[in-house]
Amino acid sequence: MKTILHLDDEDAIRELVAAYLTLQGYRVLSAASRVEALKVIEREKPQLVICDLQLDESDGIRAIEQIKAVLRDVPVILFTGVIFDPSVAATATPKTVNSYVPKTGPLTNLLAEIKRLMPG
Amino acid sequence: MNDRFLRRVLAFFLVIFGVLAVIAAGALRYTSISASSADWVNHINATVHEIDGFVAAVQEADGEMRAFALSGDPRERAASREAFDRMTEHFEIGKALTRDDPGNNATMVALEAIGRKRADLAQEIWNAKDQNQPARIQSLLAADAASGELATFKRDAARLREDQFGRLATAEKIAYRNAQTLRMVVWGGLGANFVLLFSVAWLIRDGLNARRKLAEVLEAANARLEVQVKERTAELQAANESLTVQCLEAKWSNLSMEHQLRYANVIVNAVSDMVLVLTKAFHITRVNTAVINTTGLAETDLINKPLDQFLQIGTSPGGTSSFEIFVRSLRDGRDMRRLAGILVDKRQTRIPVWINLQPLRDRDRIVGAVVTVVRAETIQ
Repeated sequence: MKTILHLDDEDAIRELVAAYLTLQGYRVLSAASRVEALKVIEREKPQLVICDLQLDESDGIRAIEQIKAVLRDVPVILFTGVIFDPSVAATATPKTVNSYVPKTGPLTNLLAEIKRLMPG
Repeated sequence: MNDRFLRRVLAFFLVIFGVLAVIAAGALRYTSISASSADWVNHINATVHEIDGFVAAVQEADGEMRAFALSGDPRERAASREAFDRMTEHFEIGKALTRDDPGNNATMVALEAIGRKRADLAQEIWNAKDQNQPARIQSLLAADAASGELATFKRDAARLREDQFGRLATAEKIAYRNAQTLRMVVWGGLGANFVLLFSVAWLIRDGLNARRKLAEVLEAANARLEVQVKERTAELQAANESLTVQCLEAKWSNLSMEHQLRYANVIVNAVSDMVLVLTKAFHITRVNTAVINTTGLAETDLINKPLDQFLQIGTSPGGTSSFEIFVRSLRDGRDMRRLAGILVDKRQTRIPVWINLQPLRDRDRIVGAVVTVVRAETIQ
């Protein structure tokens, strides 16, 4: 079973995404903050990271940089509703981010992106 | 099926026990008959023995009597007397044995009478010998020979004996027939029971086969049912998962919409310029925090109210009111920039402002307008 780390500061979103991806056959590790996410990757090696952009004490870009420093080859999906125009987001997001999925779309978009980045 | 099968087996066993009972009853009956027949044969043999006994006794007594008549030897007279005594005993027993047979009993009595006459004759001869009267002895013996009484005695005794043997033969025939009948009953019954036992065994074998087949059919049906249940469970599980996914998607849709709305509100409220969203008829539908802070009015005092109640726009040099310009601009889908105006706050203070108008488009359709208002003194 493949493991995914999901970083988001909203409880409701974390719970819903975890429920959905678990149903799709993934093991989901949830973290509410950058620090908590870094603690998780000290003991676990997720095969993919999903990260929100706006976090309580930091932002997603910084969190992704720190996660990537530990998990160099693990794909990262930026999952946010802050950027309204996906075409802008695709070019504007840093290189550490492998994919951008807007929160305004259905969860099947997120699942499709997960399957694309983590096939098999 | 079980009840019917058990009933049939039970019925067979009842028939088997019935046949055994008939065999036992028949055996008992024919054993009893055989015992009676043996008693009867013994009785006939005893009678024949007595007949032989008294005939032999009469002949011996008669011989000893004649020998005494010639020799006068007292031992021969004693022997004759003794023989007559034995004759009497045999007659007594013979009569007792033929008590239930009147014909033979009468013959036996007649023979006894002849025997007694012979004993009387012997007594007369003994007396004549004792008195030394040879002529009388000869006369008595001659008269006896002439009477043929001894021959009659022997003939009647022989007939009686033959009659007894005839009865014996009949009894033997009956005994043989009874034995044959008993044999037939026993062997026939045993044969019938063997057939019945074989039938029961066959019936039990058929019952067991039927039961085994039924068990196989039940097992197959159970297996089919189990497969169907598994398939149905899998279908239900898939449907449930699909439904759960749909439910999660619906929840996600609501959550996402709520999140976006909240975020949009945060952005609009963060803008320091006053922002008012209007209908095409210039009624206020939404305001940002800057409007509330500047006018001192509550949101409820502003929503659904006409814009010109709070915002007065100067008349253009051509005499057209600014609101008419707004209406035309909105109809044509054009922006309006830097129009001078007066904002009236809660305390009726007149605040000079610059006004911008931008038509609000939903795809290709104009659904309203966004008006941004900036205090005139803040403009550089």
